[in-house]
Amino acid sequence: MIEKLFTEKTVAVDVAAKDWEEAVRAGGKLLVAAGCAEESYVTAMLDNIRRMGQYIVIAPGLAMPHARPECGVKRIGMGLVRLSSPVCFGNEEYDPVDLLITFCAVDQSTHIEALAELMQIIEDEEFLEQVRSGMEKDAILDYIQTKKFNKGG
Amino acid sequence: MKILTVCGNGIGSSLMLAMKIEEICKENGIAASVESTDFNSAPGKEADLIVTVKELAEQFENRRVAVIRSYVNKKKITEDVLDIIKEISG
Repeated sequence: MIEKLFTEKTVAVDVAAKDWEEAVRAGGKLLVAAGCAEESYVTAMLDNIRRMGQYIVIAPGLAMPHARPECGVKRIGMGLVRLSSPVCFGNEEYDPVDLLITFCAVDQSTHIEALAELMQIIEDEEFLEQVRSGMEKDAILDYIQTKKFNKGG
Repeated sequence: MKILTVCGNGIGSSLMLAMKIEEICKENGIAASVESTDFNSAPGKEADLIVTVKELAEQFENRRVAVIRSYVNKKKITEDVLDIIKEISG
């Protein structure tokens, strides 16, 4: 399923951001540009991080900003940003961050399949290593399009 | 037993954590139902164990809470929850 979500529009490489807010905005912009979310969703993602902390940095160097379905989501979406230089979110364990995966979901459950597949991307250390060492955008998309995902259960 | 995984919105991190905990329980032959929820709804929900990160753990007074260091790293999650789950289900 996520091969349909990561597209030309929702993957951006070598994005310049001076701090975590700019980085999250860059990731949010992808979802807006792809027609998955309203501008207000980007603000909601930023608010969430300010309010609830930095736990969205879920793995070394990897943040997963998101907000609630009712905060301006139009349809399910996922975006990938590679920063040209890393930023800190204030997460003791996993800063600094150079990769962001933003996502939006329409409810609590219809994106479970996409999320299960996303976890397999996050756990694919070899792939993330390639992304970090300058993998081209087309190659990133190709990889996700052709990756075989294990079905859950 | 019933396990509640908690994050800010209940749709991202806690859902991924719930999937991992389901796997861990299954591998260890522990019967558990795992539900993910958001920070605000969590206090009103019944559960034998609440699993969340330390930033969100403080609000759960008088509840059994397991604090995890990662929402997605299965090894770390196992280290942080398995003993407690075994103890409760035992």
